[in-house]
Amino acid sequence: MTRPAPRVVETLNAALHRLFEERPALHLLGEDVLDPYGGAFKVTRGLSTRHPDRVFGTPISEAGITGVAGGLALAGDQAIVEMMFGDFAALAFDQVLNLISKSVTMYGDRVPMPVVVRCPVGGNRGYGPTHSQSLQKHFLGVPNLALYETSPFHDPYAQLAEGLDRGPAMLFEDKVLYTRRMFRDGAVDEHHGYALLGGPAGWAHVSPVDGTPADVVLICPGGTAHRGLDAARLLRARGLTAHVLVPARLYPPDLEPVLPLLAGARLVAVAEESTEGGTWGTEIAARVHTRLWSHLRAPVLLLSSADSVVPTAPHLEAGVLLGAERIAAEIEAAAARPLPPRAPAALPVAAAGTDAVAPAAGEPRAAVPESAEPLGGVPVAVPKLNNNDTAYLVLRWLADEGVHVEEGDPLVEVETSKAIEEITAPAAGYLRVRAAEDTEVGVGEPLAELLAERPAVRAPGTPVPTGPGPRVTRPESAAAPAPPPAEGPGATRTQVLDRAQQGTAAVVTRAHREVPAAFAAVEVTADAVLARLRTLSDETGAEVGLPEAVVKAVASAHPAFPHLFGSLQDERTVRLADTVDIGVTMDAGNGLYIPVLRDCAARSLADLSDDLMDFRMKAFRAEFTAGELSGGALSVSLNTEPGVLLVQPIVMWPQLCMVSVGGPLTRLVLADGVPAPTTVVTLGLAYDHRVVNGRDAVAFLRTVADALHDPEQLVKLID
Amino acid sequence: MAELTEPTDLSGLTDLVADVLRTPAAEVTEETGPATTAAWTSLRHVQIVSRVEQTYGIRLTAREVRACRSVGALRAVLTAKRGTP
Repeated sequence: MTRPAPRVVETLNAALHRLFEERPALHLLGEDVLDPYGGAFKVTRGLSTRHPDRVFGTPISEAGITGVAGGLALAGDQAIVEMMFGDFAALAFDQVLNLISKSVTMYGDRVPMPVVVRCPVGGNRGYGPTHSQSLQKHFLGVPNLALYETSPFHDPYAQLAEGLDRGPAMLFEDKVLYTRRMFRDGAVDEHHGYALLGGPAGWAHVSPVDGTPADVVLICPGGTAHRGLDAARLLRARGLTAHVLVPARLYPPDLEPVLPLLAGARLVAVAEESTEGGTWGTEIAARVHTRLWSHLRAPVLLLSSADSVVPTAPHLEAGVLLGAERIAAEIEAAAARPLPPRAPAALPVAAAGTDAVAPAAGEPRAAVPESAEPLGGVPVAVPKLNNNDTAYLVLRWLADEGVHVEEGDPLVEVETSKAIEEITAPAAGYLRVRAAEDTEVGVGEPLAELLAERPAVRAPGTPVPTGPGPRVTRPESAAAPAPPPAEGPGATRTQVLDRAQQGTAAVVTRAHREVPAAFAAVEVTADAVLARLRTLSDETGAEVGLPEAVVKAVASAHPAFPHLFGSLQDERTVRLADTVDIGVTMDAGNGLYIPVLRDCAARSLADLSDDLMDFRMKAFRAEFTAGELSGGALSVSLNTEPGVLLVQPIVMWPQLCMVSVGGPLTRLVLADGVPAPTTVVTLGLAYDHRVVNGRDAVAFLRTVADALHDPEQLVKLID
Repeated sequence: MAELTEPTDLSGLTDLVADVLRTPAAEVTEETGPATTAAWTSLRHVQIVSRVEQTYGIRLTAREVRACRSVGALRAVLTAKRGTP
């Protein structure tokens, strides 16, 4: 059996032991650090026993012992100082600021000052206002002083060794982190892994194992890392992919290894436990803004604890200190804001003599071709229209180049993998087209600009800039024939999936990857419901069929099985639906759609029937809007063609269940000993086994079947 | 708009429905509809309506589509539409 990873406190302790073995001149000073107590948090356990002449238990005198450490360094020795609580580093501030850090460059030659001041920091333990603070921000920007923070990804040996060698330094250790285990071997959880960028004292980069690029990059110091990871999991459940960056060194920060990642994200956020104002995050944000100004899609989002003293009472403390839910909620809100277009600037270039920063994978180099003029008027960018696509096809310009349009006028039709959307003018102006028809344009990239003055007429034959995307042609069907095969033996025959099928592929691949699905099915006698539907159709003069009845029966099961209509918010929480909105599969030969019937529990069968017929026509004409295809709490896969025995659908993540309906089948059954024909239909349920077990699944199906079969319930369902 | 003579042509509409349902035209009557023919599924219903729209140059609402419960009903809707300029 694999041994569990060591706890952070054990790793710190091992690092100190190793440094003491390697560095005969190293000393440690602190309150209650001697064995058998071994320090308030047991970080120095065993050290005084093994090195009694170099480990000193001191009186409560933070300024004094820090001054002694400075003296040891000036005399050619090395020292680590332990503050019992980092809050009292305030007492040592003068020694750090005016003696230790200044001595490096105050005597003509550079004087090495191998001193590290270790500070247990942070709250969430109910220790109150003077034992719960995060004082990192108060030590920022002191010349010659480097700041490190313990993290579950970084070996503290590397941090302490670098801190001593480039000294002086401070190491901030989040108290809650001490008992957490280290991450190792690049693994975080089932969905996330990590890699170290910029060496062992560089950045830990946590990202999804499937390589999904970042919508959001969340930068957080080691003490906030677990909250950052929890937030990433919450955001994942809400459809946003967050990468998390954890630095080993807070100051001076080395952003170079992470600039490409930051440049490619929709949003950069910094989360830290320090109270609001003058924070490490503002320092990082200022540097990111300076380095990546032309690449940022939104201001860096700063997340810190409240502007407050840290209270002792746990419920009040939790209200002040930054937590995962708040990180996720603020990021979600910030990411939902509309994005300005990506400016057509060159990528950031590092200082002279170093390499230019490479673009992130999949990142277009520039939003507009080099020959294009810069945008001058009000930009018209491609909004994010759904969660599946990163680029859309420009189908048709609805206004001519150079004409004057008013705010709200339709400008252009773009095609997503599922729908055609009309983009309207965000302001009045003369239209200058930036993306030609039949080109792909990425989300946020410019489609056009609206100028205050009539633009010069393009010279005949001047092509409209085509944007960064490849020119695409649309095949006529999902199985569009490939070009003629190359001459000669062994040439491979291929067929290209059309855009709709590519969209379907992306969605079902993700669903298949995300959802551990199981399946159950029951048979339901359908004679009574079919007969009742025929009568209803005759009465109303409009056809109402089995699909509508099944949708209604599924909706009627909602009160007894609300969790089947939910979505996973995190590993332990199901977000329940407010209204019973049910998606229904539609494939009229132009691609698979799952439009959503709203509020199915409250609406009549005839009403739902109208919507369903409207959807069928839209599926046939491929003219859904994105809004009609989103927001379902559960879906029903309709396969009511005669002869369809059983359908096992894929659960449409983040939904938890998909019901399937097969076609009517005729069976001979014995009624009072006489064979009689009866019509049956198979109802199936694919379900997320993390939330639903087989017992629930079958009970749910039985409830739906009873609603369709039991005479009393049928009356309620249909009338 | 093209001369709308087709809707009154029984064989034209019958052939169209038979073609979509993949059944012999001889089996299609004015009563043929979802209730009488298993092959007249919801998808075929939409295909029939769409073909009718294309052939006769009209556009039906969802409610009208739902009301086309037989060849006869379809013809009635077509005739009503034809009267509309």
